[in-house]
Amino acid sequence: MSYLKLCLKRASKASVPLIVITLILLSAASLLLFTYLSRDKEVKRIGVVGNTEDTYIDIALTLLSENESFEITPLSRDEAESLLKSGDIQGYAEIPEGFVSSAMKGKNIPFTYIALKKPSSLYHVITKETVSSVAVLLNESQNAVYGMRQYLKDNAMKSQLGEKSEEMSFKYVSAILQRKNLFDVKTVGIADSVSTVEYYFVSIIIVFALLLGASASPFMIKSHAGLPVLLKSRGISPLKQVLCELFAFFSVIYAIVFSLLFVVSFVLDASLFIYALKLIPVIFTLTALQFMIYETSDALVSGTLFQFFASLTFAFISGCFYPSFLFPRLLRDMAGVLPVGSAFSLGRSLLSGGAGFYDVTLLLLWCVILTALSVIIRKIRIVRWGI
Amino acid sequence: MKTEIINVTKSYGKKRVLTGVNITAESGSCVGIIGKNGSGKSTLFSVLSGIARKEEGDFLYGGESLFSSKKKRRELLGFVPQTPPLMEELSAKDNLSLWYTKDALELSLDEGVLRMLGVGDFLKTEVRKMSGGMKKRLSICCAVAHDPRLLILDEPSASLDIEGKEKIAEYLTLFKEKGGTVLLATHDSLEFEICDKTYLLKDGKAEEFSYDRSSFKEMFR
Repeated sequence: MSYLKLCLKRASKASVPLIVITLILLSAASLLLFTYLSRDKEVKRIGVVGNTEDTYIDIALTLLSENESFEITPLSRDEAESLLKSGDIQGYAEIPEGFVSSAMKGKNIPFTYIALKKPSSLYHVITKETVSSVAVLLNESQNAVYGMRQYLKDNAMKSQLGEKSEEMSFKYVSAILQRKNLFDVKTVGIADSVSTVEYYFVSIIIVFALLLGASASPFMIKSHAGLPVLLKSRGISPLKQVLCELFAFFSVIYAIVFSLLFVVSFVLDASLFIYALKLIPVIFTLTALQFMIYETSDALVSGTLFQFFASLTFAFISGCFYPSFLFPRLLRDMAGVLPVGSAFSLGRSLLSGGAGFYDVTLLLLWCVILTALSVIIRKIRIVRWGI
Repeated sequence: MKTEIINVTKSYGKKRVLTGVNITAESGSCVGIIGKNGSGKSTLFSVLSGIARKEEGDFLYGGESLFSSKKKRRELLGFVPQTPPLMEELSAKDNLSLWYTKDALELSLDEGVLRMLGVGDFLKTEVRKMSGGMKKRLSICCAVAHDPRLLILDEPSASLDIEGKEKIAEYLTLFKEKGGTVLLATHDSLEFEICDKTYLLKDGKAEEFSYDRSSFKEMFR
């Protein structure tokens, strides 16, 4: 039997405990996804404090309330603070005295959006940004109304001032705020051209594959090295050893991911077969990275911990847990070219159908680099093990 | 056929581990090599088996350099590393299938090394469920699958029970009788009994000496 066949046989034995771990991880991931999706459908409650009886404000709030993503609730400051602390509202907007009249005079008194000090979730960030964009839209429409009033004055049409400016105000505010898709406009752009759900779908695949790989540590960590030494003495080079073992490791991880996608495609009633096939280079890069890390470990406990921490750190900085745009620019750029970051990026591009030459080349380059590093480490270790 | 290790040297960085090792062995003989931990026994075996590169020197079998011909070395030399070269999750049979063809495996189970070392008794047992002695016997079977003429063993009896040691000693005696040459790193008195010649590896050099129990203890002081 060839070494590759034996490695595959060994990997297939390893797949039994891996499948058990998979089921546990799958349950946890499903729960997270379910929670995420149900939260996505949640109506965001936002409080408004201040003079909400003003005609323009009232119109604006009425129209904003028509948006399915928001529920706008006029509140007193005390109520708003209490509801914010209890988590019943995402935040509240405090409209200052003379907010509308100042805008009519060409002055811009900003309203304040108050949220918890540290945003606890992605929704908070999105809500905050949405409110901020609403503020900008409102301000722009008020400026336009003010410009119209000035035009009427300058052209001796003062008699029509009241009637026309009111009409303009209604038209501007209505035209801008009646957008049903205001929330979606802000969520598109988490990364590439995928939706939030697609983004997290790919991230779950990446994290899942990494966790699976990390769970294989009892099979992957070599506490003793008699076999690589004997193989080398019998003419099976470190390159061939690494390629056989890496391929077996990749096969078992990919088979499980493929099966998972197969099941998910039934649940979601979506065809993921082609996507699963396209994921081969993505999963291969992840397994090549983990294989390389395993090559540096020879103690089970420390090796397993190292693998888990390394995998989760790579996943975190690559934006698998939080969208990478929330990170500093330098970290974002760095993560984008690292193996997990580039695998995640290609995974998203493949889903949106826009995988570019750069993404594919970068990933292939990583496959080669990581495999080469594994071979070098194996060579060094065989000599060390041999003595 | 004469086996000759001629002036073999090896360094790791600035540390000179082997400074010119010379050993000779006739066919049908066993050469024991002893030395303190870190004296260079495993390094010497790594160089001879092609795992580490030599710096200088030569390794001849019947006048032919095994350092120059990798193919010849693989054909003639069997190496049993100190740690078992086995896949723990697989059975003895699976592990052997890497080195033996199906026919060769059956033949060896009938009348070869597998029978002699009693591997047939635990052929279907997973390696992780085996004792140290079973693993060592299986390791030897893996290393000699290609029927080598020269066998290098790095402490084969380490942490084995008496029965295991006796089986291995029996096999090595038979290997010698069939004209094979054995190079053995050992600290075990039972293995010394089968050695025809013994060398002490000290300060990177090998010195021949006559083995007896009292001088053996004295050497490690």
